[in-house]
Amino acid sequence: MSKCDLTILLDRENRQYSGGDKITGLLRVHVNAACACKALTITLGWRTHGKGNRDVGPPEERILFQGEWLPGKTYEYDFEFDVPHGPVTYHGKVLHLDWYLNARADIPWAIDPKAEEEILLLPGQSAWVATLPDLSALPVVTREIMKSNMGGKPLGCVIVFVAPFLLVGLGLLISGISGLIGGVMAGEGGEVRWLEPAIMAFFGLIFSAVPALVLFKVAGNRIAANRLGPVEVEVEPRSLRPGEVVTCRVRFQPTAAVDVNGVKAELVAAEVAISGSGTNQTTHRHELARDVANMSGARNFPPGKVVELEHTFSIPADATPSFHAQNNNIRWALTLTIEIPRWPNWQTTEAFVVHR
Amino acid sequence: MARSTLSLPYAHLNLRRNPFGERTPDERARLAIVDVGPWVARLTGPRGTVQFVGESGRGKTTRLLALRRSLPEATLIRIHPEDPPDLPNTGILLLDEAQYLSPSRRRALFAGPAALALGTHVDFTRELPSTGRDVETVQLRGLSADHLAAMVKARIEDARRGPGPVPRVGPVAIQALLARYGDDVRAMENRLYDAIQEMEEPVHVEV
Repeated sequence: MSKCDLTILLDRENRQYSGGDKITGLLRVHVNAACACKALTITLGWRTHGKGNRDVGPPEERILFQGEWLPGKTYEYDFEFDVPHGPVTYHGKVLHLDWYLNARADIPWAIDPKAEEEILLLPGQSAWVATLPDLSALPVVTREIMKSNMGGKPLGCVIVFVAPFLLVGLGLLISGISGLIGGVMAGEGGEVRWLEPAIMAFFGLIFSAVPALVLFKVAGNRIAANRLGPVEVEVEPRSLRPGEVVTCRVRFQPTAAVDVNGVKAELVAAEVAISGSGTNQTTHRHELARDVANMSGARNFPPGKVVELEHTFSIPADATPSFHAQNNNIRWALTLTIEIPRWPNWQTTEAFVVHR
Repeated sequence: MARSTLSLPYAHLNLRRNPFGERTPDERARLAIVDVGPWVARLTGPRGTVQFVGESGRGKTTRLLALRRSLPEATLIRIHPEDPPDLPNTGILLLDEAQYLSPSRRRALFAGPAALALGTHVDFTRELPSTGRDVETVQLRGLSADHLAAMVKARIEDARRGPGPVPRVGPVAIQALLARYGDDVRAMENRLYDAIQEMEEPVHVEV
């Protein structure tokens, strides 16, 4: 039996609070054995649960008591917290966010008695805005955003990495093909030697094709920009409420006549949760909303003429607000793709924030 | 299924959270169904060595976390291939992902005085005895229905909200999980997480 038992009693039976409210309640301590309490504390804070590693918000703490407790007695301590405006309670699929009151009695030389109760934090009158993450501080989110933002890839690093493979591959390919041709010519009067050069050409093809594909993928926007000219994309506003609209504008001036199959804008909201770390890291996604718009069909854009396209998306009135933490995110983003036949597509993804 | 935010999480299942979600290291250690006693005895002896060998999701990290819970003085270090840490060469070292140690670092570590518990994909049976260590190798292969049932029950009970029924994973579901996923506990957790997510009331979990 522990030295004491803690019970948290809330003022509201339904446990529902909104930003700006006050949470009041009692922390009841029933003492089983005489003990000294170094600190009786209660904290209010959020944490995530679900498929991702746990993220925890900074808790607010109250120290309710320090001193001696007598056996058989029951003590009650009032507490009060101002309810923050967010992040609000969220129960999704791979991501859940809840608020908790946690009480703890710090008893020297004994297991600390604890108690925990959940509260539900609902949207209040004032807005709570999830700031877009500091990319340098949040490597996971950086990867999420960079993964689909071709313009941001470190091309120089990729070239340095793939160039040796590409050169070796091309060397093998040329040697193999030369060997095959030479073998056939030499074999006109006798035995044809084709196996070794064929193997060399095969590996040359593999060694040169894979780095070429990587380069093609990573440098896609740069290659596409050779035809499209510099492409400017604007997403406005970057912070909005459910029911409002977000506009995507794209502007480019082709340097030469260019055919496109279409210009597409795609709005996606998703829960993204990261579990594990390092080589054991797994990304779990659950899509919350998707809307696709064709900003242009197939057409030819003449050189030198400025092309300006625009599309406005409505954010649903019941849209889930954005949330960004180390391992768990509710991410809203617009992906714009310019599809060029027989040429790399130009593509970028721009994140924005939806708040209550 | 996304449920209304007006209800407490998983209250409809008499749970506080999805029992098969990602756990903190402390929770993993607390809920581990393993008897660490013999390994603790080995590691508290001079240059005691134990290695847990197996694929991902077989329980190497869980065993190391359970050992740390029993050996608070031990140092738990996860080895990252791109960022190898500085390793102390005394005390009790619990090294996760030990296969990422370079051969030279392994030689220095194995020759040193530290007691070692290794979580590894690669069996170091050939290397370790040559450094004078008496090694216990635990091959993490295979999973019995009883052990899996105990693990699943412990997870659900830990997430219990109050008295009354909670979701149950019966013998048929346990056999189905073993048939589909073999001994890959992580894959089973993912399947069970999704199954719990779809449940409307605390009945038998279907997989």
